Amino acid sequence: MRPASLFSGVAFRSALLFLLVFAVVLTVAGIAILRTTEASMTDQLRSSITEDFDLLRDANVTGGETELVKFMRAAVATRSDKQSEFGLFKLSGRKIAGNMSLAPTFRGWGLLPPEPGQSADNRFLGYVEMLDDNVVVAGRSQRFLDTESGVILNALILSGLVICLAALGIGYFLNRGVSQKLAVIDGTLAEVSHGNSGARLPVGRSNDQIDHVSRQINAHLDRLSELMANMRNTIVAIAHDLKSPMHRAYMLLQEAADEPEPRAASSKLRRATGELEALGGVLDTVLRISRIETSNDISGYTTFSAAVLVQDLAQTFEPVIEAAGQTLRSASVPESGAAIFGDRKMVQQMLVNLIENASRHAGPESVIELGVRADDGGTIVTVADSGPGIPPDKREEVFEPFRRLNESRGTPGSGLGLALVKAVATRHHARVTLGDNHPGLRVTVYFPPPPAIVAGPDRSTMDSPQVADSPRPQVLPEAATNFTAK
Amino acid sequence: MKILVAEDDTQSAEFLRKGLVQEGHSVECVFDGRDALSYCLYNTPDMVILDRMMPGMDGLTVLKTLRAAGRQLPVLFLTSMGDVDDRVEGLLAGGDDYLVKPFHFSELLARVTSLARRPAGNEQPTRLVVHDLELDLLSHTARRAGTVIDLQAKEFTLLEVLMRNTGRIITKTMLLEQVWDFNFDPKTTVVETHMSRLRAKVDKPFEVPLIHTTRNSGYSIHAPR
Repeated sequence: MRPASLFSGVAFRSALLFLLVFAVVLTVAGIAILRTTEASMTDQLRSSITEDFDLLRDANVTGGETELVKFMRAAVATRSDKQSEFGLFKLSGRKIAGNMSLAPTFRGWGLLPPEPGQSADNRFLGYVEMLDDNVVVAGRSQRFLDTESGVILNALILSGLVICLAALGIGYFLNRGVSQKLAVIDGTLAEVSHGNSGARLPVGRSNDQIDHVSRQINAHLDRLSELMANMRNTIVAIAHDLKSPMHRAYMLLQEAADEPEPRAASSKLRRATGELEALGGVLDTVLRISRIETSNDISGYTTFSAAVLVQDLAQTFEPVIEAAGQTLRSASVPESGAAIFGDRKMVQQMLVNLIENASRHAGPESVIELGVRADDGGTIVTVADSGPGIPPDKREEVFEPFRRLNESRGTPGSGLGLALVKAVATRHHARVTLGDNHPGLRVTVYFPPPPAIVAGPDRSTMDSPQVADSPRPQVLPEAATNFTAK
Repeated sequence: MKILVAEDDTQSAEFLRKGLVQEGHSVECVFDGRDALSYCLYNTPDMVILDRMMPGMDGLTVLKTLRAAGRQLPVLFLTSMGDVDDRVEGLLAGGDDYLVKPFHFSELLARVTSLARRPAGNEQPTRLVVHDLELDLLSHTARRAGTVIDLQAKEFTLLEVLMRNTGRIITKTMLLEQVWDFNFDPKTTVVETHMSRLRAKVDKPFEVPLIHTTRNSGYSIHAPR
């Protein structure tokens, strides 16, 4: 991991921000503590000086100048720590007693003039007053005050530094974890964008926000991969399925061009046209499936009776199926409760495909049954046949475009019929189940209940809640056993 | 009939022009949407065959502008955009019919003829007659030479569509749209089977057949000529 990326990480930045705020708070608090301590120590110093001066004043009252000189000499002699200064001066500035050489010019409180050879940082605070005709001074060194302030300041700076370093360290380590995870995400996404569609983000056990986002991204990548794989398969299948009729048309056109007999040429041209029409039909269906899969527009949706639709289709296909030597049965009494919310024409084509699929694969003398019933608010439409059915392990496959299970047997069909069924089902949040009809195939389509609020001018209010409330679209092969293999 | 063909693909336009001229129509071709609009505004064609995707202005806008200008001439959309939504959009914009490419010329011709003779306004006859065949749309009964013919619902609608277009060819696609409301071609012989059943009831018991098949085109009903 590059240090630059580490130090630009979110956690590290948070740590820096914390540090800045902490530094400001510490400085303000430090200044306050320092000022309070200084004020308290200055008060103490002043009270000590005042006590000294009171003694000087007492001596002056007791014995005048003589007593004052005596007291001052004794005081200077006893206080050998050089922390106190006493001075007795004449108004002219002439020193009479004490350990000071220069008379201060001020009266009251102030810093005493430095003694020769005294360091600049060792200043004395003093009190000066006229007692009789003499200038009397009592002072004490401020050095301890500066030393104490320095100690406090150093303690503050040291603790600040320790906390700052700790914060930086914590930020660095927190950030290292996050940065490492982000770097992995970054790398994985780069891999995906470079074509490795199988790359997935690692999901840790901590179940933090990054893990949550990683899971979401993985789910999206799974869906994308599935779509891409489907698209690739479809493109390959389209190319394969379009090439055959195109090749046949090409051959027929070539033959027609070389055909001297006009009627024979005309017949070949007609056959070529037929091939091209079939090709166009496949393309139309592919486009239709794609439109159904990608569009979310439900402006054309209505709530319609499933029973009426099924009955209508039964009337349409009964003669067709009879002509194919099969029998079509349907529930004769429409159930009023069975309603579907959706695009009627799409659902119609879906059911037509299912009926035609059943008729095509069930074989002669088979029975095809159409059923409708209301179920738990939704609607179930079934198309069942007595043909050979589909083995359970192949049931998922048949919904893929251009998938023909019995291709080798030469059954006609583009292999798009059930792909369209799946697309329409997905679009309507319907569930298609392939099951065993003992014998034969039973296709069950469950349409969820129509939403309570169907009408309304605002499309956005129609789109979201219905989609959100509806069950996920899915195509599930029914877990069926004892199945007659096709 | 004076027909305007608005189609940006010159080969397709020429193919249409030739075919329609052979059928006795007078044809003008334009290759741009704006030209189509100005032609219709300053001339009086009897019908427009309009491509949806054209340079200059798309067919849908041309049609909407024409309708907004009060021109009620029949318009047939011709397009490779053949999805249900596209059809609905075209018909809602005021198109009279919709034909998806690629198409049989006979399909186009049948639709052009059907559009040209469409009665103005909404006059809906309640009784249709072809030779000795009568269809009462109110009582939902069919009679031929005085004999009541028992028809299933789809057979009745099928006969009604044919009789509303007496003498004109109705293609399989048109029947799928008008009788079954199918915008797709089912892989099974829906039209053929129902037509065969209808014929067995309407024509077979009688001497003169009224329903006729035109090969590669469609079906028509007319009195013996």
